[in-house]
Amino acid sequence: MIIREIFIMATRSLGVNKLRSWLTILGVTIGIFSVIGVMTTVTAIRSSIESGLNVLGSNTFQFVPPTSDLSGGGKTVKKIRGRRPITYSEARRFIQLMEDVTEVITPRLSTSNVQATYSKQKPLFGLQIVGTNPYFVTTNQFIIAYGRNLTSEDVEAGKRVAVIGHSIEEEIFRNETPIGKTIKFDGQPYQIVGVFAPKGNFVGINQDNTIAIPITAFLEKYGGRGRYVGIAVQAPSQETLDEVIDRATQVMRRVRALSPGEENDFDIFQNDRLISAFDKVGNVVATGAFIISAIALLAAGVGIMNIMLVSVTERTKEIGIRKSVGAKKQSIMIQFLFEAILLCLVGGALGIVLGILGGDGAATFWFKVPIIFPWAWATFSVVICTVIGLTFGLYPAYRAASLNPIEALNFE
Amino acid sequence: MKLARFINELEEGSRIAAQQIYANKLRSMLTALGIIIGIIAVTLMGTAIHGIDLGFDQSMGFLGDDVFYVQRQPWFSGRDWMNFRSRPSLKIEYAEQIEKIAATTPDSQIEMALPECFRIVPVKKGDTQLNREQLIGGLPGFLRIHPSVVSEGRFFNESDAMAGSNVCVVGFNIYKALFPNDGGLEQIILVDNKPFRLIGFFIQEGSFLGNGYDDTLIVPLSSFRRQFNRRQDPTITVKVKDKARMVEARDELTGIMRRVRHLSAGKPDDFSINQSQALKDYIDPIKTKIALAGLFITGLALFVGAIGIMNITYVSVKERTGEIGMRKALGARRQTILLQFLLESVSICLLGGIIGLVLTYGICLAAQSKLPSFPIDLSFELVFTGMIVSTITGILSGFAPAWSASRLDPIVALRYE
Repeated sequence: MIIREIFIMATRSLGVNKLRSWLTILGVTIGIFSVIGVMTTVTAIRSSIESGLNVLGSNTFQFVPPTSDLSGGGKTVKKIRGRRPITYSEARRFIQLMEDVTEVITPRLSTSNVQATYSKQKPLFGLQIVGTNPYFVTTNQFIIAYGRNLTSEDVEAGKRVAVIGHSIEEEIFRNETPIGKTIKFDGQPYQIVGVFAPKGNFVGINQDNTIAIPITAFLEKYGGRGRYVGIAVQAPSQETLDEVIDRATQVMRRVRALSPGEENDFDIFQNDRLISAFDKVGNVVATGAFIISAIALLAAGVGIMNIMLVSVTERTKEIGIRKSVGAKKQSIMIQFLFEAILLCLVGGALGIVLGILGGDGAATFWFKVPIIFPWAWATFSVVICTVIGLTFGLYPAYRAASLNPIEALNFE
Repeated sequence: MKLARFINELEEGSRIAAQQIYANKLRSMLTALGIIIGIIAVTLMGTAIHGIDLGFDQSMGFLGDDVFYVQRQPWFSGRDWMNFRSRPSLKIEYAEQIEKIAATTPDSQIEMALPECFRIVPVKKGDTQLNREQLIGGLPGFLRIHPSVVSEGRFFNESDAMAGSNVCVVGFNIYKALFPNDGGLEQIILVDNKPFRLIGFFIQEGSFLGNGYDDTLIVPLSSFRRQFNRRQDPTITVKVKDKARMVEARDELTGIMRRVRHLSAGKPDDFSINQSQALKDYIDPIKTKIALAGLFITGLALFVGAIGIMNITYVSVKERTGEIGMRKALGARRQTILLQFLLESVSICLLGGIIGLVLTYGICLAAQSKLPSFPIDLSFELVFTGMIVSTITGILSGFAPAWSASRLDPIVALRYE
């Protein structure tokens, strides 16, 4: 009942000075538009980069060569402890011992900048050859477009078969199916059995020029000396991931014949860590963007305060009358605060709509990322609007409430 | 005559504006605060963008603005990389051939040409290992193309190059990482597990973005090829005589390269000539985008401040309706009233602008002491622009209310309560 009365009073007094109220609302609208627009764009870009970062499937971790610098940037000064690479026989032993935990384990050897030829066509350059097993598709999230995957038999027999990436298919098999054809790289013929679906670029690395062959065939051609076999392991579920990592560490220690006191001589890399490293950067950028975009909102808040002060001065007489007929300090205060909050909320609602339209527009137009609806930011900005109304309305409302009724009635 | 009246009006208008601003101190301060916030945001953003620009140019310096890099593919090739990869290799001899042809060309723009090879290598000394450092195989003339200064020791000379001896000169950061206690000269370090004798290191070049040659090792090309990769394509680095005539030099170089490669007239180039301009061309649109976005967002704050001024000027017109009526009844012209209110809003804006610029200056000084490597340059242009922007803001936002004041009918205005 009382709330309704307050609401009606607020709308009425705001309606008296329509131009003034709308200008104030416009200020808030622009402020909220700025915050929501910027945050929508930032969030949209972030989520699209993050999905790109998921090179490895979820629940997957890798044993990596200790020299690879995955943190990126900066100089890593590393004390070396005479680490030897993980060999293929160690990897096989590891896979055997892990059998009861998970099957999905991929050993991986690779060489890049390989040149491939098909019949009489001009050679293709800069390809990446990966020696691996059938689970490569699972752990590295490739999809077989058509043909078949590598099989365990291929690996056991060291067959010269290959699954080729989308770019290679596009470049040399324009008008024919590659399946069953023989492609030659580094002087060795391989029969193509399957084609990967396009995967696209990831941070500038083309993943579509990969050729997967059985690891045994890879070793036969390129040899294993000095090569570090990367091992990717997929845990059955997110819940068991930590357990599997523990277990895998123990098994690897056993395989590497480390005595109990010795440190691990291998590194484990989790995809989540890459994402969390990116998250850190993303958070800094988002915070910066938020602060810059919120400056306009601050200016809008100052505008509200100013206008509310004017409104208090103009209505001094009205306040005097209300007080002399028994209005409490509190109700005067609530009346003015409510007006300020109402201005902010109307402005905020308009700003949210414009901001989401503008932000998604910019994100799709300039950065070609899918649109999103930032519920969290929308809710947050409703809260912000209320807080801004409260903060900047507080002083004027307080001034109105503490007017002396006799002086107020006398005010000219 | 007219001018005298205008000056008179200007004088009186300013007096009234000052009185009004003073009479409503809190209101004027709050209105100015809106502008102050806006001006600080915009000028700080402008300074930051300018600083990033400067830093970028400094870091680009090491590529040289008078140098061409002849390579198999362009730096920013995008989707066509496969076509470029299948181009025939470049040869080390090209450098000499280019110089020879240039020497016989009248008015040649080409000063010198050198082959260089690049590689990313691990570097080791005792227990310390650096994982990814840039290794360059070059000739003794290297420093004539890439001006860098050897701090201690020496650069390798012709006899090192002839003998193909395993000597290396390293960047400052590498030296410091390998020999924190100094004394590294004449020591043996392992470059990709091959022993090299360290004969000198460069002075520190570090800048805001990128580090010049601070993280680079340079060895004679002959030992580079023997130790690492004999077949790798070299980059032919070509220095021009006059960087004001890069376009001519580029045409000349293209012609020479076509001759060196024996390309017949109809055939397309099978090499790419890169220059630091290409990097600039690639980065500039991105920089512009970021700058526009930043200025747009901070400009919104200024816009909100302007709306505040408009609003307050409307209030002030309304409050002084009676006064306006009186002045009009006594013969004040429309322009006089218009000018008076415009002066009021412009002076609030200018006041806000000046305070804002002073605060920006303070913030810049504070930032400078915290981040000495970031080039901060609060330029005169920026201050000037800031003042112009606040004046224009005042005029634009004050105009509508001032116009409505000047249009008031004196009879209605006088009766207004």
